[in-house]
Amino acid sequence: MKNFNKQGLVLALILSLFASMQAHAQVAVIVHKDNAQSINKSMIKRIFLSKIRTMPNGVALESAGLSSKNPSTVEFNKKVLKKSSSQMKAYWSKLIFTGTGKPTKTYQSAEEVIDIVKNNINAIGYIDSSKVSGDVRVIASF
Amino acid sequence: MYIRKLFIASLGGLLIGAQANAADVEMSGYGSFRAGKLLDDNFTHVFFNFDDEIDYKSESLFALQASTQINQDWSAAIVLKASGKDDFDLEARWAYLQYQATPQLALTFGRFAMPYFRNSDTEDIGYSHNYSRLPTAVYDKRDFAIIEGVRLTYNTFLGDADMSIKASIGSWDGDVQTEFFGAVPSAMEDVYQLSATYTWEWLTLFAGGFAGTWTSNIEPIIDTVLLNTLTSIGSSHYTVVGGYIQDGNAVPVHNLDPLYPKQDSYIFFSAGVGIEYENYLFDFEYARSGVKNSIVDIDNQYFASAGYRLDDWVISFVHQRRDNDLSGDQSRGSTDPLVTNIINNIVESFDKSFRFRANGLHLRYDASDGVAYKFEYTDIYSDSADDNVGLVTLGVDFVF
Repeated sequence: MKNFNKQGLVLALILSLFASMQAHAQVAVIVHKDNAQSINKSMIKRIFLSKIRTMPNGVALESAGLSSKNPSTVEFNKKVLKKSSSQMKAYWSKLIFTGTGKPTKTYQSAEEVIDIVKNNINAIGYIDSSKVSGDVRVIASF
Repeated sequence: MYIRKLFIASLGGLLIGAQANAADVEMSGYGSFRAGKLLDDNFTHVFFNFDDEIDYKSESLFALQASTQINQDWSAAIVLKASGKDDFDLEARWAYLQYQATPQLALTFGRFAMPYFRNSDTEDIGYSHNYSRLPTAVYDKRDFAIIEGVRLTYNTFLGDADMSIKASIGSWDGDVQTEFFGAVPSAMEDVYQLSATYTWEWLTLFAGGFAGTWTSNIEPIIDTVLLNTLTSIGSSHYTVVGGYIQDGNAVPVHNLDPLYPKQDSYIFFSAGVGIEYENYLFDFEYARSGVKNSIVDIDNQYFASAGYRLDDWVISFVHQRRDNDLSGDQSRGSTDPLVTNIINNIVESFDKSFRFRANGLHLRYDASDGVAYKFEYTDIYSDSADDNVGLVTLGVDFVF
């Protein structure tokens, strides 16, 4: 009985650790693997708030994200943009209806975001770190 | 007016044409459904749209935007809005062409809302803020906030902070709703607007304003009110001739020009601070506005709010106040003490109808993606009624 309890305790600890890792899964910001431009955290924030619309070399960029309920989006919004999902929606509503900005185009899966980024040297996206492939370069993790 | 309709029709045609290739047109929208009532029938106030009967219409609205990217630099958009206060008649709130000259600089041509104070260009998007309605001491939904003209938007960075500068030129014509005179046909020409917003982390600073040349077609109404008032106190020998009040001997005793809002300067200035530090929210905005040398004296307007965000809930306490200068300029040069007295009383009654102070509690609950429920209780004190009344509203704001 004691052994069973110990095993149960260990299992519960592993499960809670796993759950905690899931809840705080890392988000990777990715660019084309040949894009060597320097993009810091402040620029990443401004890009995904539509305040920066070009790469440092001056070429128009394409930003790609995941749907608003995706855990990576929730984490990215919280850690990088410092906003909740509803705060983001309120923020975009001000920009969309005044013609002063457009929200990041969203995709259903990390694979779709990787496709966008690997096919456009001026694209930038964020995905779950565990989904990063060799087709892209990680410029920051949160 | 004809040019405006032609422009809006052309823009609509452009967007419908673009819709042939549906991928080129982006559709989005916003709206509010709000019910409210005053808790007794003491009085109503022009800045609060409700009376003691429950009302589902006055603050409900639905808006749909169609926008398209014409090419890399040019885009076009139209926002069609149906407001309950206008019997849900459809109007083009925004209709514009936009040229993105550089990543930082955009020029907008057409019909748009002036950003002359912090949220004036988005004040009808209930979802974009935490209140049931933005405090009406400052955000009084002036029809002339929508002008036809050209707008410049310039965004830049100052270290870790962002700076946005907006400037507009244009004109407006339409009706202004007043409690005292009802709907007054008015026009504002030569509008020049400038505003700047500085944002750093949790701090936002704002200053802005505009100036224009204002005319309200109200002279016959003012003349009638004046003469009726004089007659009611037994002084029926006065007449109004050529913009002057004349006594029984046909001697001009008062020039009415300082009373008429006719080709006078409309001025508006505002400044504000917003703090969003972790879950604590604070906003303060102050404004001065009015038509110089007219019955519309300069108003002092402000609100302060403190709020707290807890997950999907936001609670805000709002204090707001609107007052006037009562300069007395309207009766200057009068040689008749009785007329001076009457004019001062009329100006004071008119200006007093705008004055109020209010304290309110607002709740926002983000129920689901793009949908927020709002509740408000506000206690309103009206200077003209010298009484208080409670207002309750309940509504849902949405964007898509």
